[in-house]
Amino acid sequence: MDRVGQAEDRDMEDDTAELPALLVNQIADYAIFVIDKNGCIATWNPGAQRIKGYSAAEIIGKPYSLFFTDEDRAVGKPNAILSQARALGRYEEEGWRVRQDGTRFWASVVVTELLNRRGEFRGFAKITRDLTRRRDLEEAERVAAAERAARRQAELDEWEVRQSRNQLDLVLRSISEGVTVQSPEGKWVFANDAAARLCGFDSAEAFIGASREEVLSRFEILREDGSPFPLDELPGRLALRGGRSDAVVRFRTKLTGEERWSFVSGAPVLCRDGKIELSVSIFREFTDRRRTEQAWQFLADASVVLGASLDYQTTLKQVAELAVPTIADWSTVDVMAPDGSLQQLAVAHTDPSKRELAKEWRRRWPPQPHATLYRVIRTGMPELVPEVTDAIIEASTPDLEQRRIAFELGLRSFMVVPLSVRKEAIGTLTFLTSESGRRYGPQDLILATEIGRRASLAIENARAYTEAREAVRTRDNFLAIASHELRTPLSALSVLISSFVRAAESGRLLTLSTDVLAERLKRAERQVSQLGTLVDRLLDISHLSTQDLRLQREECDLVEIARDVVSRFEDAAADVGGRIEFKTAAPVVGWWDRSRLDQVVTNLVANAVKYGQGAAITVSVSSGSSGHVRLTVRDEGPGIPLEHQERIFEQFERATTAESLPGMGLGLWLVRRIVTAHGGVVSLESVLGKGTAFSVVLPVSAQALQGDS
Amino acid sequence: MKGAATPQEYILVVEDDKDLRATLCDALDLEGYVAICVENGEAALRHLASGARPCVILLDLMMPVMDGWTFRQEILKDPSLASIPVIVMSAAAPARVAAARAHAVLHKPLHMARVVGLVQKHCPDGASA
Repeated sequence: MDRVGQAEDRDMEDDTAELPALLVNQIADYAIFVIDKNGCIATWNPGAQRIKGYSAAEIIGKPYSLFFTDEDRAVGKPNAILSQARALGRYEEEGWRVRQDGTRFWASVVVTELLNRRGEFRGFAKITRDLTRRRDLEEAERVAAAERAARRQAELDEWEVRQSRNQLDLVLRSISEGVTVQSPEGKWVFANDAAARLCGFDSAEAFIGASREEVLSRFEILREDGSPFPLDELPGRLALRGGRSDAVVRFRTKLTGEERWSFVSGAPVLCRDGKIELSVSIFREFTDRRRTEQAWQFLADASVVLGASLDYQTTLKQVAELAVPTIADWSTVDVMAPDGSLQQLAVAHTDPSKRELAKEWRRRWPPQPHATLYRVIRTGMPELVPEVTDAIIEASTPDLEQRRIAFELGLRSFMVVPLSVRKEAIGTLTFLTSESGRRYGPQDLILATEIGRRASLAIENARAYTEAREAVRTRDNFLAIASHELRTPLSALSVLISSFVRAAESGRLLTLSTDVLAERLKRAERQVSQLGTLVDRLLDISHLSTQDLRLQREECDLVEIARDVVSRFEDAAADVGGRIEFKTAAPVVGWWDRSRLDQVVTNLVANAVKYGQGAAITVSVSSGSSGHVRLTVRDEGPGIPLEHQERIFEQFERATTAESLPGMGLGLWLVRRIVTAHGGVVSLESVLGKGTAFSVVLPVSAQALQGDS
Repeated sequence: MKGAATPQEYILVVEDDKDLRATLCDALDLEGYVAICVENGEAALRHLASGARPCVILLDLMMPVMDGWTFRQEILKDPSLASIPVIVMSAAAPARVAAARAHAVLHKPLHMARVVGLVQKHCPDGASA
C-alpha cells in the first residue's frame, strides 16, 4: 500500500510543479497569455489560439494592440488599459476585440499586473473570454423583447386608431353639417348622411356608390344670385388645388325643383411631404333660415303693399304675386261672392302656363262645400297640409281627369288662411308648394296666418275708409237735398206769415175777405202737412240707409194701389200738360206690404210726371206667369242715357244733369229696396227720345221666398 | 190783383213750386204790387216775347223744363231784355247762385220784408197805389 502510496505521492509531486503550466496549456475556453512590459505578447495558450485565431508562432512578440478595433486603437485604448492595470493592479472590461481573420467578438477581459518575488514589475497577465455567443443571445433576447414591445405598441396603436376612427366616423355621421372627402382625382371617398341627403341621396353609402356624373346630373349648382356655379370653383375642388375657400351654394334638384341653400367650406388635407392627399368639404345647410328670412322679408313687403292702397282687390292680387316664389310656388286669393260661393280673385305662379292651368282647373272643378277652402271660411281657422300624399289627392279628386291634372301640378304641401273682416270670413289666402319640394311646417303657418291677419286688417281699413267716405258723401247729399226739399214749403209758409204780419201792421190785413184769408191759411196748412210728410220720408230713408227694410205683409191688390196713386197724380200731370193712362184687366192680389208698394208706384209715377215733360204716361198691372205680377210705368219723355241707367237706382243719383230739377234722388233707390225686399226685380228700358219704361216684377206669395223674408 | 198799376210797373215771378208761386204773388199783391207769376224759364221767356217789360224779375233757379240759369243766359243775350233787374230766389250754394249773375239774391226761406225791401229799389212806384 505504501509503495503504491509513495509512488502516487511522487507522481503527485511531479504533477504539482507542472500543474499551472498544464492549466494554462490545456484550457481552451480562456485565452490566457502574458504581455510583456512593452505591451507585446510573451506567451500564448490553446485557448488564445482558439479564440483569436493566431498560433503561438504567429503572435508571440507582436503588440497586443492587434486585438483591438481600429477605433479603440485610434483613441489609445490598448495603452490606456495597461496604464490602468499598472496603476490599479487590475483592469476588467467587456468590449469588442478583433480576431486574426478581422471578425469581431465580444470579449470579457481581465488584465492583471505581474510582479516577481521581489515585487518588480514583469508584465501583465491577460485572460480573455469570448462572450460573443452570450452577447448574441442577450442581444437576441433584447431584440425579441423590443419587438414584443413594439408589437404590443402597434396593436395598441391600431386599436386606438380604430377606436378614434370609429369615433370620428360617429362624429361625422351625427353632426348636422354635411361632410364630404374627395380624392385628388375628384372622387368622393367619404360622405356623411347629411351630405348625402343634401345631394338627394337616401344614405351616405348610396352617395359614395354613385358615380360622379350621376351625382352631378341630379342637381343644378347655383351661386347665391342664381347664376350657375362653375364646378371647378366649388370649395372642394379649389381645395384639391391647395386653396381654402367658403361659398354660398344653392343646390336645385332637377327632378323636383327643390332647392337647398348651403354655406360650403373647402380645405385641403396634406401628406407629410406637403402633397395634397384629400380635400374636405363641409356643408352647413341654412335653407330653413333662408326661408325664414325670406318669409319675414315677404311679410315686410306685403305690409307695404297692403298699406299702400285702399283698393283691396288689387292689393290682394299684389300680395299673391309677392308670395311667389319667396314663400310659395303658387298662391291664390279667393273671395266670397254675395251668393256665398268662393270666387278666385288671383292666382300667382312664376310660370304663366301653369297659372292658366290652375285657372282652368278652378273653372272646371270649383271647390265643393266640403273642401278645405270652405272649411276655413266656416271655421275661421287656418289649415296646414304639410304633405300632400297620393292618397289625399285621390280622395279629393273623384274625377279621373281632375286627378291626372292634380298629379301633373305636383302639389307637395299647402296652407289656407282666412281673410276676415269684422270677424266674418270674406275669403281665403292659399299658399302651395310644388316644384320647390318645400314642405310647410307650423312656423310657416304662423307666418301665413300673420299675412292673412294683416291682409284682413288692410281690407277692413280700406272698407272702413270707403264706407266712411261714402257715409260722409251720403250725409252731405242727404243734407243738401233735405234742406232744399224743406226750404220750398218753408218759403211758402214764411212768405205767407211775414206777409200777414206786415199787412196786419200796416192795417191792410182787414182789406182781405174772410174767404181769401181762409183759402190762404188752408194753403199754409197744406204746406205744414207737406213739411210733415217730407220729414217722415227723410227719416224713413235715413233709417233705410242703415237698416233692413221690414215688410208688413198683408193681402192687397196691386191694381187698387196703382189706381190710387194714378188718381193722386192726375192733377200734377195735367199741370205739365200730360195725362196718365191706366191699363189693367182684373185685380192682382198678392201678399205684400201695402204702404211700401204705394211708395213704389208713387215714386215711379212721380218720376214719369217730373221727367216726362208733359208726354203721355201709361201705368199697367198684369199677372204674369209662374206666380209673378208685373207693374209697368211708361213715359214718352226724353229717355235716360245708357250710362245713367244703373246709377239712377243708387242713393241720391239722378239721371238729369246738375241740380236743375228738385227732387231727393232717392225715389228709385227706395223703389229698388222695397221691390228687392219683396223678392222682386225692378228694371228699366229706355230709348233716348222715345221714352222710358220702369218694370217691377213681384212674386205673388211670400211662401215662394219664405227663406228671404 | 190790382189792375191800377201801369204795364211797366209789375213784377215777374218765375217759380216752379205751385204753392210758393201762388203765395208769393198773393203777398206781393197785398203789398200793393202787381205780380205776374209763371212756372219756369220757358214760360217766362214766352211772356217777355210779347214785349212786356217787368220792373224786376224774381227768379227761382231749380226748375224743370228751363231752369233759372238758362233763362238768365237767354235774357242776357237779348239787349232789349238784358237790362231788366233780376233777383234770384234760391237755397242753392252761393257759388251756384253767383253763376246766375243776379242783381240781388233772396235766400230761401223767403221773408216778405226782405223781398219788399229789394223790390222797392227797382219798382219805386209799384206799391204807391
